[in-house]
Amino acid sequence: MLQFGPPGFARVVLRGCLNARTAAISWNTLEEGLRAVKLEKLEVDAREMELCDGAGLSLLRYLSMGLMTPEAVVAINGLDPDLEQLFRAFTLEDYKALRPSSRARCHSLPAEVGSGVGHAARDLRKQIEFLGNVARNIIPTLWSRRQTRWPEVGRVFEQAGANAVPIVSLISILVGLIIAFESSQTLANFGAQIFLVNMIGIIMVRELGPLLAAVLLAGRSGSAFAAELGTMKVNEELDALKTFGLDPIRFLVIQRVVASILLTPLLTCFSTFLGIMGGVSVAVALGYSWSLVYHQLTASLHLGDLVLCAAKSVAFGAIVAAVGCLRGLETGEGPSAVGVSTTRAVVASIILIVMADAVFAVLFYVLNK
Amino acid sequence: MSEIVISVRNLKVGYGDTVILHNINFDVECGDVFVILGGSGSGKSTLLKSMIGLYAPLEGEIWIEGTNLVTAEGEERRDLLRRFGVAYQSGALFGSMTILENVRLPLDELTALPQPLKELAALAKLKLVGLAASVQKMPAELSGGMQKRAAIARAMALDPRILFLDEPSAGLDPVTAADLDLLIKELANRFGITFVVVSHDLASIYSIADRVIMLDSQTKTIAVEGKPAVLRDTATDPHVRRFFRREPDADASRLHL
Repeated sequence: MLQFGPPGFARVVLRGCLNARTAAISWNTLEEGLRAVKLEKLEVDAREMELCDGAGLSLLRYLSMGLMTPEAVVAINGLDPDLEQLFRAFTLEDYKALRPSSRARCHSLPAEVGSGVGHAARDLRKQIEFLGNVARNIIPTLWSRRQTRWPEVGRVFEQAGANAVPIVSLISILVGLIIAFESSQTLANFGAQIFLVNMIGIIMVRELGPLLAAVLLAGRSGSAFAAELGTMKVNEELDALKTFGLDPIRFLVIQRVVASILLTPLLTCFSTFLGIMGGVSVAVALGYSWSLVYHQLTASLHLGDLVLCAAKSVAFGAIVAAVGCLRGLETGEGPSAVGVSTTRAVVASIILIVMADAVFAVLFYVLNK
Repeated sequence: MSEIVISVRNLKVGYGDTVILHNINFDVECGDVFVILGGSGSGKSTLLKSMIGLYAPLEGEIWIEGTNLVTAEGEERRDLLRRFGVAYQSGALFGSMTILENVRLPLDELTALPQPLKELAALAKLKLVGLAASVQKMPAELSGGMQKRAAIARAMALDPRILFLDEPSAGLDPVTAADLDLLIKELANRFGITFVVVSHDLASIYSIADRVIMLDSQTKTIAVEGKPAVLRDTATDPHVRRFFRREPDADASRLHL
């Protein structure tokens, strides 16, 4: 209850129970009543207060620190001695210390760009170093049968390869179908419908087959590798390995990279074949005969294209597995660390796959000249 | 005799056909520090988790301030859950929030208080546990003992009358553990908070416990109940006596060769 006495004087009488619910209501009443008037003295009468919990005490503290009535002298009367003691332990400085200091420092744009580029360059260097490290270890590890842990390779092969077949099939057929369908109209405008099948064949074998398989592998398995190794890092399992004198790269990474290198070409073959079948089904539906489709396909695809497809798939498989494992091994502390490294694994894999694809395009162009 | 705030009757906990504990009966009085102890694998944590409503018991009743937690549903259950606080063994602080935000979270979500009052209330709790200087830090920046203190502050955010603590002294050095014991004792004496503590740290049990129950992994029920010092001196069961006196099993060979 709020009473106004002589000018510049007000009295707050608190009765009954002051808990989280009533303190919120009282806050609103007091704010409305006190903000508008200019006070010299505010008296808070707590004699009839029966119960006061943490929220109630906070309200009393807020009033007593003069935060609601900046210019008034505040007196709190009739507080229970026990509460009084709690009350005294708390000062305005404590509350002011809560206000976050201006921690957010402003950087200039060039500095931001510079540090971003530097960070990206260091990151790329780390990835390349790691790939090199894996490549250096892969032969000695495979040489010694004991170190390779083939059952683990088999497990990864099944999880990342065999279990990915349904999703790869679905996406490849649909992409083949869509490309054939969309391009048949455009080609018809130029009277070049006959090249529909050639186009599907070349696109799927040289570009989309390996790319689709690799991107799906990055999304499904690269992320899984990062999460698996990241959780091991958080649980100190990697430290345990190191104290046995075992190298995590030989013990954990090589198996995943080997499995990926073995499974990606198979997955790519599968993806390419189904993509072509998707496109061919549109061509057949549009009235092409099977013999024409066969003739156009064999005329447009050469052994070089298939070699390129296989080379790409091996490289993409190695990239996805290595980047996934690297991000997993780099996992930091805290509950969000595994999530962060999983995201980074997928993003970095996709970027590196596309960059490698560009390199392959240039190489193929130069070699074909 | 003071008021009974928690009363467990004929409790049977387990999963599927496996019974972990059965025939559990005890009462906790208001303002007491009540300790559940037992060896590893005796079901202490399981009992605690069923008392805070995380596991549904197979049979029995758990009465907390006159409401049966086992049968309570909907709003009644939510209301009951808000009447007690829990501090987990690992602290379970949210890693993406500062210590102050961690303690403020229950106030943010469950009360209509204005922001300054929530901050003041959270700060007051942190001051009680001696963490006023670390309010803006992230949990990862605090030591184990400080994290446990922060967890207790968070458990107290809504001014509960009952606090459940799971192994508060586990992983702490003796001085920090003794500090934490003192804090528990102080909170119980000054604010009349009832503590239910799971522990097997004997030093801590002797200093804080008003009453203890000891669970036995063989019989899967309560082996003894009483005051710790009395149990140490008078226990007849050799297993209980060894536990309270911290003596090794005389018959067992050190190395199982």
